[in-house]
Order: sequence, then structure tokens, then C-alpha cells
Amino acid sequence: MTPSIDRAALNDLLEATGNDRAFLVELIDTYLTDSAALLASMRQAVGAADATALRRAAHSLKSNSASLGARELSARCQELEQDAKNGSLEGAEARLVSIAAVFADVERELHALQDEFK
Amino acid sequence: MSQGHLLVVDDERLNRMVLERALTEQGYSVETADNGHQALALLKGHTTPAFDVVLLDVLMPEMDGYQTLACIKADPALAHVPVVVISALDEMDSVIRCIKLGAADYLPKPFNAALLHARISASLAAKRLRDLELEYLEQVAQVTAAAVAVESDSFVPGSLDGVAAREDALGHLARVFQRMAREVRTREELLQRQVRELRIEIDQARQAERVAEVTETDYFQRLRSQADELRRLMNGG
Repeated sequence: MTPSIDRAALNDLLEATGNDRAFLVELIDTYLTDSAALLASMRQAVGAADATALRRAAHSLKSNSASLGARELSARCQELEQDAKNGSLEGAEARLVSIAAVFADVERELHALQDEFK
Repeated sequence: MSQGHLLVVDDERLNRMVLERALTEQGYSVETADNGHQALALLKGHTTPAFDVVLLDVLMPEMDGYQTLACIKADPALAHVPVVVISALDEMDSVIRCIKLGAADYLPKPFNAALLHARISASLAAKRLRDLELEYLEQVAQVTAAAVAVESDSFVPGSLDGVAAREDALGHLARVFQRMAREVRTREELLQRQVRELRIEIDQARQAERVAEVTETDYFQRLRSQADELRRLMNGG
């Protein structure tokens, strides 16, 4: 199975932030908390057919996921962001389901990494 | 000592945390804002030292990066602060728009430490060059004002000390100017003293002349003879 997290990207992040493992663990916590909230916002935006709110939340999850090396998740969010930017909500629900599934893998992997870094 | 004082503006706390830590590791001092309003309040609330570079996210709620950038560039006190736009690689249209609005550069997300340092160093160098240029122009204005002050006799010698401390041609000009102004002043004071002394001599000569005019008259001579005669009689002679 392909890992959901690009370790090289995560190592770059660790190096850029002073090789402080405790800080990386804190960053992962922040990412997971914020991502759960962003996923909730995306579901709400799709329910309310609010393309602007969907675009904003998808953009944030795309950006944050890329920072942590969650490339697949970031790419899927980018597709949803692009659709929402074009005002299209067609297929948004299906995309959201796949995003949530990828996020579940990312979350599992990041928790394992946190244990490794602690 | 900090290599520069930076403002990070991003609505994503993860980005703020990463940038703040990465930039601090690179020797910069960092403040953060999570929207444009907060960023402008921080920029306007500071006196010196102000921010050397602003790192600005584009897509933000309340006041987005475009509006914030436009406000920064419209304010004469802030317009010279370089703004580096933070943007994902798939947002080139936003980057172009920001550069047209006056952004100095852009920084792709996710961040690369080496690129982050290189882009900020370049913006800081540009800012420092601009600061030096402004300081130079201000000091040229000080020398010009000093020349006007010499003409109106209100020149204060210490007013050019800051410019005279420079080691370049402008500093040399200020030192020569100070020396010449001092010489002119010394000569002027000498001349004024000589004129005063001359006036006293003229007054004394005039007084002597007046005394002579009186003492040489026949009437004065007669009075003097009478006075001598009286003195002689009183002395019993």
C-alpha cells in the first residue's frame, strides 16, 4: 500500500523548523484538529450549495495537507477547490467522500508517526 | 541580533506556526496576523523599527491578500515595505495579480527552507538599499538646508554632524561645508570686532576734536586767563 504521507516532505518540514521533534508532534496535532474542522465545513458548504465556502475550506485543507506531505489528499482537495472556484458543485459530494477516506488514512499514519517522534 | 523583523499574515494557523518557527530558526524576528485587518493594525501601530518584509497569504476571510496589499501600497508610510506573497503553485494567476499590485516576490507553498531564506534575503536587501537611498536623500536635503541657513545667518554648526560622520563623498562635502562655515563665521566675528574697535577710535578722535575746537577759541583762552588770575588772588599772590 502506498503511504499517505511523503516522509521526505515531512523530514523537510522537521529540518526547516529546527529539527524539533516535539514541535512536529504539535504541528501534527494542529493539522489533525484543523483538518477535522475543515472537513466539517466542506460538508456544510456542500449541503448549503455554498461554492465560496467550499472553495475556501478545500483550499485550506489542500495547503495544510501539502505542508505535512499528504500529497494525495492535497491533490484531491485541489480538484474540489477548482470545481468550487468554477462555481460547480456537481460531484462535490462524491469527491468529499473520497477526501474523507484519504484523510482517514492520513490521520492513521500521522498518529503512528507521532508515536515514532515522541 | 535579528536579521530582520518580519510580519507573517496567514489565516491558517498551521502555516503561521511553520513560518514563524522556520523564520525564527533562520535568525529573523517574527510577528503574525491571521487576517488583513490585523496585519494593517500591526503595520500602522509600529513606530521604529517597523517591519522589514511582509509575508502575505492571498486567500483569507474578512480582508484578503489583494485588499491588504492594495492598502499597504496606498499608504505612503508603508508602501516601501516589501510584500512577499505566499501562494500554492497552482495559483499563478493570483501571484501575477499581486505582483501587478506591487508585491515584491512570491513564495510557493509548501515552504522550502532554502527558498524561503533566499527570497526573504533578496527582499531585505532591496529594502535596505531603499532605506539607504532615502537616508542619503534626506541628508542631501540637510546639507542644502544648511547652505540656506548660512545665507540667513542661522546656521547651527552641529546640525550637520550626522552627515559629516559619513565616510563617503556626501560626508566629505558636509565636513568641508562645516569647516568653511566655521571659517566664514570666525572672519565675520573678527571683522565685527575690528569695526567695533574702529568705532571707539573714531568716537575718541571726535571727542578730542570737539575739545580742541572749544579750547582753542579766544573766549576759552580769556576764561582760562581769568581763572588763573582768580586762583592767584585766592592764593594770596
